[in-house]
Amino acid sequence: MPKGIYQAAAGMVAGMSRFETIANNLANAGTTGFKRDLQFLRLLSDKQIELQNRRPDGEPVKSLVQVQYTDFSQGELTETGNRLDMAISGEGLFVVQTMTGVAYTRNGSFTLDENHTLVDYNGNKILGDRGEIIINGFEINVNRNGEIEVDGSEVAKLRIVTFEDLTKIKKIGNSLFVPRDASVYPIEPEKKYIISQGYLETSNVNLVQEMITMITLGKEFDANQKIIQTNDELMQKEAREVGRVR
Amino acid sequence: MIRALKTAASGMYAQQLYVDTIANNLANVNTTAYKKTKLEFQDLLYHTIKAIGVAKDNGVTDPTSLQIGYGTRAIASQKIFIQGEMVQTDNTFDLAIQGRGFFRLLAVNGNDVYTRDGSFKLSSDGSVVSTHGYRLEPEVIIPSDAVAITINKDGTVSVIVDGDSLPVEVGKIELVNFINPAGLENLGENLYRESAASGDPLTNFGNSLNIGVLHQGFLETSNVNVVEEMVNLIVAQRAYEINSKAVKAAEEMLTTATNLKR
Repeated sequence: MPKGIYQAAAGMVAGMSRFETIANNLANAGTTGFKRDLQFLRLLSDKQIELQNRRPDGEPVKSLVQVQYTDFSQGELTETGNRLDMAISGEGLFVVQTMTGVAYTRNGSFTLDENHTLVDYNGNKILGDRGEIIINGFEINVNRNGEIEVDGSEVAKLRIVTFEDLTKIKKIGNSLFVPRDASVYPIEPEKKYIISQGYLETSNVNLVQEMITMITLGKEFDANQKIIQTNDELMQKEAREVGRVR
Repeated sequence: MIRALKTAASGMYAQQLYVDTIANNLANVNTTAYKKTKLEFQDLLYHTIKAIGVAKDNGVTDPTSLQIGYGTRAIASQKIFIQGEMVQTDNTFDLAIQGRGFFRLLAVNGNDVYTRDGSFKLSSDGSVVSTHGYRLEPEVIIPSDAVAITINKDGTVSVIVDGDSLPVEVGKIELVNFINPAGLENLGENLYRESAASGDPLTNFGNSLNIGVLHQGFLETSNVNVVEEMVNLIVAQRAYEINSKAVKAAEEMLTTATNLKR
C-alpha cells in the first residue's frame, strides 16, 4: 500500500484535534484569565522514526507528533471597579485551595463566603502568606504587591507563585491549573509582578489569529483529503487497468 | 469532531447570555440608581488525550501532553457598584447617596431589603416610604403640620412646624453597608437582599461621613455607560459570529471526511 495514504490520514486526524483546540480557544474568548492553547504538528526525524514502535509490516506507527502548550502571554486589563477583583500584570498565578488540593489561577474575580473568607466563584479559598484570607471590615485596599489592607490594618499578602517550566502545569477547567505530577513545585516569581485592584485580566485569545488558523486548517484538511482520494484512484488504476489483459 | 461542535456551541451560548446582560444594562440606562451587571465566564473541563511524562517502550519519556477543552460557561453575574451621576430634581424626598451606603427598607413580609434608589414619598400616616411603599428602617415620621423639611448630609431629618420658627429633629435616615456589596442578591425593582457572600449589614459607623453622604433634592442615575455597553455588544456579537464560524468549519470538515470515499 502507498505510504502517502497513511500520512495524509494522520494529517487529517491531527487536523481534527487541532481544530478542537481552536474551537475551545474561541469559546473562551470572553473567559477571565483564560490562556489560549496552541497545538503544533512536529515531523519526526528518520532517527526518531527509527526509535518508534513499528507496525508488523515495518512501517512506523506515526510520523507526526502533536505538541501542545499553553500560551501564558498577558491578557488585557479591564476595569470593573469591584474591590474584590484583582488582576496580575506580569509573571505569577494566584494560589487557590480546592477540595482536592492546591490549584493555581490567573482569574482574579473573587468574592466572600459566609465566613468572610476570600474565595473564587466556585467557593475555593484564595491563599495568602498565612493561609486563608479573612476580610472582616469595610475599606478593602490591595496594593501593587498584593498586600491586603482592611480598615487601615494589613491582614494578609496574596500568595503569588509561578513555575520554572509552565509546560509542567495543566488546565483542569474552572480557570484552574494544577501541576502535572508531584515533582513540580511552585516557585517565587523572579520578575516583578503588579496586582491591580478593581481590574480583571481578559482572555488572551486573539479572534483574528484563531480565525486565520481555522481557515488554514480547513485548507490543509481538504488537501489531505485530495491526497487520499488521489492515492485511492491510483490504486484503483493499478487494480483494474494495469493487470488487465486486452 | 463532534466535540468541536459542542465546544463552539458553548461559546455561542455564553455570548448569547452576554448579549442578554448587555441588553438589560442598556434597557436600564435611565433607571434611578441602577447598577450595571457583568457576566463572568470560566473554561469547562479538559479531556486529556495524551498524558505528559509517559515512558514509552523505547525508554524515552514523552515531554508533551495533549489536552482538549470542552468550551466555556457563564459562572456568575455581578453588580458593579460604581457611583452613578447626580441629577437635581428639587424634590424634598429625593435623596442621592454619594459613597457606598444603602437605604434599609422594611418589606411587607417583615424582612429587610436594601436599595440605593432614593426617590422617597410620604405615606398617608406621614411615614417616609420608598416607591414600593416600603418604610424606611428605622422609621421616619414627618408631622402633618410640617412646612419645611430638611435632610442633612448625615441623614438627620429636621422639620419646621407651622407657626414655629426653629427646626425640630424628627428622625435620622441611617445608611447600612456591606463588606462585599457585589455579593448582594438582586430582587429586581432596585432592591437587594443580603446573602452569605455580601455579609451582614454594617450599621455602626459613628459619625463617619465617608461611608455615604446624602444629598437632598438629587437622585442617583444609572451607572450604565452607553459607549462601554455598545463596545461590549460589538465584541459579544463578533465572538458569537466567530464561534458560529467554528460550528460551520466543523461541519465542513465532517463533510470532507465523509467524502473521502466516493
